[in-house]
Amino acid sequence: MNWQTPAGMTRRHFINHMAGSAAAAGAAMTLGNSIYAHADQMKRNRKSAIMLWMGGGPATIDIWDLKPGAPTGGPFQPISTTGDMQICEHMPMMAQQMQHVSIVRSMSTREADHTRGRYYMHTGYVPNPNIEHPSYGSVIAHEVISQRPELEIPPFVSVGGASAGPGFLGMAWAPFSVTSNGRVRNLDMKLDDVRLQQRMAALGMIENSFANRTRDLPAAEHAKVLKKTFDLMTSAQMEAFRVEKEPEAVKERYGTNNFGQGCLLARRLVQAGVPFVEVDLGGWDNHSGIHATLRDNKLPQLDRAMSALIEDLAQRELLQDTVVMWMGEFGRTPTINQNAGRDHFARAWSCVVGGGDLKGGLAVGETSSDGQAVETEPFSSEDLMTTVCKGLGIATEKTFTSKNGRPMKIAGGGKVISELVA
Amino acid sequence: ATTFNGSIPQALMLFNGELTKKAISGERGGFIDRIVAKGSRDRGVSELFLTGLARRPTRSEIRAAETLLRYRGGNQKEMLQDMWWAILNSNEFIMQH
Repeated sequence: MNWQTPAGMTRRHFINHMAGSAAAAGAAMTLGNSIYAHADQMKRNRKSAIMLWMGGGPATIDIWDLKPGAPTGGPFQPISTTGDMQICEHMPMMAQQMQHVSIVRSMSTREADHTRGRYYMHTGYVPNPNIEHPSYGSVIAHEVISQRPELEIPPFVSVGGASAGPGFLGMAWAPFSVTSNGRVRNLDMKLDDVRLQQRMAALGMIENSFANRTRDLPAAEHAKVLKKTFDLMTSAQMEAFRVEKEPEAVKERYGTNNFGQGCLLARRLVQAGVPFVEVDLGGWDNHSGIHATLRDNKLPQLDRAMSALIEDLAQRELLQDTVVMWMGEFGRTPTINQNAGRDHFARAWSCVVGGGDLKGGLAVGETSSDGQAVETEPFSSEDLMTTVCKGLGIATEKTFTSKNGRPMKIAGGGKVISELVA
Repeated sequence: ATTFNGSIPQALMLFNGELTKKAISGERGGFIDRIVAKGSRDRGVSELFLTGLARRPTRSEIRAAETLLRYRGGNQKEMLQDMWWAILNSNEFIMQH
């Protein structure tokens, strides 16, 4: 047994277990001066965004932009909605909520690989070995946090998945991951608060002593993370994560499954002032037997949870302050393959977006009668992000300046989808 | 030295996770227990700092340990657990490894 180290481990082994992997590969960014178009509006910004992330790439041709009668149409039939469009018959609850959100049917992107598509739809940039771009969540949290000094819980929460990281914005903007029942790992020290405080005091003293001796910037950053961690452990705002406290009727309305409870948690977090929440639902990579899977499994779950969330936000008068987006990495092929499935397809697909200052009830853009091509102006991830930022009252002219002087726009230089804004 | 790229979940893991719990445990034959058994005059505080940070404690760190000992009602083992917890979570420890 090695006397010099805890419990027989080498110190490096011990710390490697705990430190995790370094995130940002690119150059550290320094923030340039920001120019806000409407400073007063920003001061009052209480807006939030919820991203419903459909891992695997859902077949939007079977959900939001049906082609009944076409050889590529599949077996589902469209039904009318409270919006200006029809959607899949297996989404009857969402059909009652479509006046609140709009479908962008003319998404046309280039990344049909899961990893690349995921990165692109989360950041507005294609993967680049020289730089790690921040995800939408990190950017939005970063942009609005100065208006929420009272927020003690993380500004970017990922429910049921890992979302995407903060890239060059730094680890302070990393997503905080929880499971759909709101459980935070390692949250509890299982000591009384007094002893916890005393430990923090001893820790603070050792930290100060080291920081004074070395004048180390990373040491100062560390102290910030420690404070945030302590605040998290002791904050009353953590109640927002206690989704189990919701009435049974509400839980059932959202659906007693991970995604349903995750959406309910998202509503609670937004009420508590969290600027960005991502809720994940996987299982959309349907290369075989797609229609049975959608009809019997994916769509009922999605329909119930998404409609509950939108209805709930609307009834609580939170929807005008909450942008809701629905998307996956890409869509799926209009052509049905020999396994009765659809494969990856990025050339023409749909996203759904609404709430905040954005218009609902619209179908923006059109695809061809077989769904193979976009026939109107195509939109990209960065266009969607720019539009979402507009819906949140965030100025997208702002740029970050890298250490080598290269400016990068926060929404990747996308254009606003004009039909969705007033 | 490595830069600290930690986040709240990593800090939570260091604060409350299994490895830390094991490292600071007072169980018989464990690190803390064996220091107590040695019965050194400074109550084992130097040994903690030498082991964790390869240096002796400063005067204020020694005073902090004495204060902690008072708060723990004279329970040396609990004081050492608290001090070891603080050392393992400190920037100095993390930066050095």
